[in-house]
Amino acid sequence: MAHAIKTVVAVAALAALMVSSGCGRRQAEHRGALPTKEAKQETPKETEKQATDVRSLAAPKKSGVAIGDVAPDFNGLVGIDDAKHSLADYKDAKLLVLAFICNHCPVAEAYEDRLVALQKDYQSKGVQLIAVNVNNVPEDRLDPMKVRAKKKGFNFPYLYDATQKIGHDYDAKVTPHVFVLDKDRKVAYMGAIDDSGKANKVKKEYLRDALDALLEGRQPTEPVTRQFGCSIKYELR
Amino acid sequence: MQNHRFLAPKRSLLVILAVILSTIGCTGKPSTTIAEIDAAGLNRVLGQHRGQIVLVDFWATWCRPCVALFPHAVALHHEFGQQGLAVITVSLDDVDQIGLVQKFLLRQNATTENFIATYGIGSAAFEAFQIVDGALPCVRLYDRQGNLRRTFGAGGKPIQPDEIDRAVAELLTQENSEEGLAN
Repeated sequence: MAHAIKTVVAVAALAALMVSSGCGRRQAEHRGALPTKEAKQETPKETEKQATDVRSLAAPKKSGVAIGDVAPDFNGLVGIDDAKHSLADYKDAKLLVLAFICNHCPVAEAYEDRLVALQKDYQSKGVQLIAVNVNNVPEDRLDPMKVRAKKKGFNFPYLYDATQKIGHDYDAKVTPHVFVLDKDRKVAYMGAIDDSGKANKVKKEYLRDALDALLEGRQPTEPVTRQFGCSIKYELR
Repeated sequence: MQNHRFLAPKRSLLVILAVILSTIGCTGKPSTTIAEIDAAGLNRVLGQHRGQIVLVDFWATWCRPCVALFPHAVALHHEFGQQGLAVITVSLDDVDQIGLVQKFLLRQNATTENFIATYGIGSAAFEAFQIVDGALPCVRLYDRQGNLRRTFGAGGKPIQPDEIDRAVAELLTQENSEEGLAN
C-alpha cells in the first residue's frame, strides 16, 4: 500500500514537472492574449500609427537609376554564345529591355516563357530583350545558363556578369527585374514584367504597356512598378 | 517480493500517467496553424500584440533564403516567446499552395502565428505589405508600442540572423519608452 502511494506521488510529481516545463509555452500564449483588452481600447489611435508606419515605407528609396537617367553602360559581358556583349552592340534597337533573371529562382523561371513570347511579339517593332544574370550560386553560372536557355528556347541574349557590376549599376533587386531603355538609352520604365507570378492570373501587363506607349512616342502611364521575386545575392564588395 | 507488490499498482498508474499526459498534450507532434490574411488583417494582428515585441517574417516556399532563415524565426519564438516576443510568419506563396505551406510549417515545428497572403504571387502582395524592393525574405521588428523599429532584408543584402537576434534582445530589454521612433 505504501509503495503504491509513493508511486502515485512520484507520478503526480513527474506530471506536474512536465506541465510546468514542457507545456509552459501554452500558458505563455494565453498570457500573451491578455494585452488584447488594453490594446482594444487604444486600437483606433494605434491603428492610425500602424497605417502611418506602412505608408512611410512607400516613400521611394534611392536606387541605382531613376526614370530619365542615362542608362549605365556595360562592356564585355560574356553571353551564352561565349561572345562578349556591350550596350553599344545594340545601338540599332529602338527599345532595349534589360531583364535581370537567373536559373534558380522559381519566380524568374515562371517568366521565361513570357519573355520568349515578348521577344517574339516585339522583334519586328525594334525591341531587343537582353537577359542578364548576376547571381553566383553554382546553378546560376554560365554553363547551366546555356542549358536553361536551350531548353526554354531563349530568343534573346543571356549574359553573365560574375562581378555583379551591372546589377549594382542598375540596382537590380530581385529576379525578375526589368529596365526599359529608350532610343536615347535613357531609363523609361523599371520594375515588374506584369502583376502575377502565375501566367494565367495576369491582369496588368506592365512591361508590354510600357513598350507600347514608348513605341507610340508616349511615356508609359506607369513608368515604375514594384518588382517581385527572389532577391539577388550581392556579395560583399 | 517487493517487486511483485510494485507491479500491480504500477500498471494502473502508468495508465493514469498516460491519460494525464495526453490531456495536457505534452506528447505527440505540436500542431501548427495557418490562416489567410491581407494587409488590413495583419495590421489588426499587430494591434492585438500591443505590449509585446513583434517579429514579422515575410517568406515563401519558393524563396530559398527564406526557407533557410525560417528555422531561425521559429527558434526565436521558442526561446523568447515567454519573454514577450510574438513571432508572426506571413507566406507569400499562392493561396492554392496552402497545403505545401502547411507541410513545411509542420516540418519546421512552426508553433508561431502563421499566415498566408490572400493576394497570390504578384505585385499586389508586395504592394499591400509594402515589401521594400520586392525582395524576400523581409523581416520586421515592432516594439511594444507597435512602432516599426527595424526592417531586415531590404536591398539584396543577405539577412544576418545574429543581427536580428541583437535587435530582438535590445527591444526585449527596453522598458515602455518613447525613445527611438520608427526608422
